[in-house]
Amino acid sequence: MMTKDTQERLSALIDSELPAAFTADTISHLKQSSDLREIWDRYHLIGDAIRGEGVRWPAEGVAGIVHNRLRDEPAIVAQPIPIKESKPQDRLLRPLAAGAAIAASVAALAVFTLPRLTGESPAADPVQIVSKAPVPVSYANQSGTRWKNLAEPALESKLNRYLENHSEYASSGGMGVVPYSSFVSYDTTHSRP
Amino acid sequence: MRAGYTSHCLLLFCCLLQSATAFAGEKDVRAWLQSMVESVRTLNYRGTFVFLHDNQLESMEIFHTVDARGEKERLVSLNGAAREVVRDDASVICIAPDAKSISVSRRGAGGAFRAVFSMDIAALSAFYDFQLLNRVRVAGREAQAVAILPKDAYRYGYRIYLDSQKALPLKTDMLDDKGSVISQIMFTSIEIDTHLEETADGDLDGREYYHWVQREPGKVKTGTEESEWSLQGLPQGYRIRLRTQMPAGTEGPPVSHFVLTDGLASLSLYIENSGSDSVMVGGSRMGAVNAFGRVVDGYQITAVGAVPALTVEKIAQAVRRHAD
Repeated sequence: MMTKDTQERLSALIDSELPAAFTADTISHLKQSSDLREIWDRYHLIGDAIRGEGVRWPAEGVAGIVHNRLRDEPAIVAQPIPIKESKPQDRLLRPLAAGAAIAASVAALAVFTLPRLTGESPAADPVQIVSKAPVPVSYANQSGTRWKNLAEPALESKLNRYLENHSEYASSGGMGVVPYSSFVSYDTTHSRP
Repeated sequence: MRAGYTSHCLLLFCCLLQSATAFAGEKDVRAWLQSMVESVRTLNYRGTFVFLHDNQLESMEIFHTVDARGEKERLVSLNGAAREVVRDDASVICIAPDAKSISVSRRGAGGAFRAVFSMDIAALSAFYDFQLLNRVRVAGREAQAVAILPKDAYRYGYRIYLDSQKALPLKTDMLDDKGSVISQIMFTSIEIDTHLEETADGDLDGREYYHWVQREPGKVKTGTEESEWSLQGLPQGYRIRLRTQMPAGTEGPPVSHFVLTDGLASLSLYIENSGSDSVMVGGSRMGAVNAFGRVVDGYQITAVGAVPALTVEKIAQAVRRHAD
């Protein structure tokens, strides 16, 4: 059962603002609900596209997801970013975006800017999440200093925990505490759009 | 007797002359790097540096003090949330004001392990070339550049600009095997030999209500203890330097942890029962850090570290499980 509360908790989890007491429960919900996983994907997608970062492409297609969800999205006020380049992919996406409500500019922005933002081929570093994940997914390289956007939040936090743990044993030939830069650094994925 | 005394004096004089010459700028790469290793551990310093990786630029402040109680280090982000790490000989405290969380880890295995990174150039010469480069100016100070260049694609190289007086690394470029820069750290200002007793202490006031996590270090396993895991076909030069067993906790099942290093580059290998969790198969890159996952007999194998993608993959693929 997906409630508004659950969605809010999911959003807080993405922003690292969810109290620890709710984390396990929310992740458990996420594992069980494909609807919730779609929301998780979409929150990340929108956030990443706005911030101009590498974007993950679900196999079923960004356009399809956005199209199916546009009607249900709350209006989000955002400054549209001018599109400077027109690529072949844009032509495929434009009719869809043109038909969408202007109020849903954030979602439309995600569609339009995707080809421009993903500088690297999504297939460059394929990571498969082998599990009950309903959709096989490919990932662009990670552009921040903490892992994000893997289909499973538990996997993300595990990789980040491993990296933090490994920092204790890494010297990188430089100053002792410098390997902790990845923990300390301001991760744009955790800031709200 | 008299002759013995004279020869001792002469020997002492030669030693003094040699060290004086060394500090006058005649040091070779080996001496520079050994000075660096010594300086970063024994000097008091405080500085601001920028960290560039991929297209991201971060700014951080670092403090390092040393006294009779040992070393104390603190790293604070100057962008966004003021995340910080405070480390002394006993513990590592990671503070995340954005997540309102504090994790405290005792330094168990790490303490004994730190001595490993002593920059043994003779041993490293099998895998890296060492070069003395030119003198440049960094953070308003004169610096001597040195290069550590990998001989194969299994490790990164470094170009390090060392303060010509104190041998602290004022700028560090991490390079791939083709010499391209992967990440850069550069001080924009640094104070050395300054009195920093207060500023190196982390500020925990007002953080009583944060979520506190205590992480116990893994129990160190000795080489003679039986393990159901072995590594076959490691990239040249990489060896297991440490093996620990991390207990099961709220964050997951027990994990077998291996630290591998060639003496300079290092990575960790984590092995855990994947249970009902999703597993990672394949590689992922984040700046200079690479991770690679695979599954063996229901166990998730994850290799992660600031080494090339080729290295994490080859090491993850080297894992073998012995049936009982």
